[in-house]
Amino acid sequence: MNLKNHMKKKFHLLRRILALLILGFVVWLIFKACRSEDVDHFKIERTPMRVERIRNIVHLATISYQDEVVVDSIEYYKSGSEKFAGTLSKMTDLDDIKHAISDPYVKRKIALIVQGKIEYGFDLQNPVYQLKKMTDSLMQVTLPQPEILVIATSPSGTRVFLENGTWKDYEIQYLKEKSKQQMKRDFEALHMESQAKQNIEHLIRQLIPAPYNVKFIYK
Amino acid sequence: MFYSRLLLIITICSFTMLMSCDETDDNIRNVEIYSIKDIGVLSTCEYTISKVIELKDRASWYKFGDRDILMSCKAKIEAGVRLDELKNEDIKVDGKRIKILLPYPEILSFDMDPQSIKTELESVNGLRSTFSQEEKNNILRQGEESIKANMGRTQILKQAKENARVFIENFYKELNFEEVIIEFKKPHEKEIPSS
Repeated sequence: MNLKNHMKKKFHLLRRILALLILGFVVWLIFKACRSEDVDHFKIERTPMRVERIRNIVHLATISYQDEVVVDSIEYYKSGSEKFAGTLSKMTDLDDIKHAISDPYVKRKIALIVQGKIEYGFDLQNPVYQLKKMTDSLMQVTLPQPEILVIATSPSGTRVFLENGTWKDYEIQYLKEKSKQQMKRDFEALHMESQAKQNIEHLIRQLIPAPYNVKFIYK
Repeated sequence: MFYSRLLLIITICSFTMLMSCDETDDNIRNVEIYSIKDIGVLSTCEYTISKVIELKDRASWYKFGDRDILMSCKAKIEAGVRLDELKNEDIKVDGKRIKILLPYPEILSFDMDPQSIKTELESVNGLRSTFSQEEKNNILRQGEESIKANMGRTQILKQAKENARVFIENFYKELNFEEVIIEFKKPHEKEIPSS
């Protein structure tokens, strides 16, 4: 009889534990549904765009360079009390619990992958640019030194690879600027000046018909 | 009775968890190859476009609360002609007269400066989470697509065409040509390049 009662009690306890687990699971599902935002399903409103500035330019780009750069930032807890408070805060957020467990010393971190394109060439609005007829068969073309004309990046070429914690917009801006600077350094390390000059000389020779020979000067 | 109920509950829970699993993409996608390219593009016009991006994420039966965000951004778009597509037969010389057939202008570059991107307003209530940086980036992507889709309604290509004409005319007048005839090839569908 005692054994029977004992078994009954255990059975009731098991049922209660199971009911609690199921309830917890349902609560978790509801929170997950509220907190997980499906970014592909929402659409922006139709708003006008404004032409803010129109500029006439004369850029002759002769080299195009594509790059992909990873930029990241990590911040650690500075003290034990900060770590305690931060971990507690993360444990109350269902999205951040995993970060509190796997990276207990990390306050926040982010990694971005940024794709960009550099166009390198000549600004022909530079007063140095000059076409001069030397003789009936010789043209002299004075060109400025080649320079980076555009470092183009955009949201479609940017991916957030990892995001842990809250990041302000100015911090993300700083990382994206850092990625542009990295791309610039990567490109400058290739020393493409002579190739850019070769390309523009080929282009100009193609435009200038016979019988002209062309002499190039770079200032 | 108890065990049959337990089995039913376990089956429902397992089914729910399995439904949340993502599908794996088994397709091997072609990778992009980044390289240095020799090009010859003459950019003659630059437009700076500003846009306000608005998103309203309203509550639904399983989401308690609303989220709204207002962001502003600017993009620089350059247009011009691809001189590297010129062929020898496109340039015809007849004494002091020259006729040149240039490629039709197209959009050459699109740049959205990170410094020009601002979150003007963010409003989150109920049980909703704030907009993460990944979400903001996705919102900006939609703004970028909207700008690119509407660039054809601006005068950028017409202006680029006129500026290219002026540049090439001056170029050949420096070579002592008296008559410079510039024509453009027929436009064909070109996408705005991604940066």
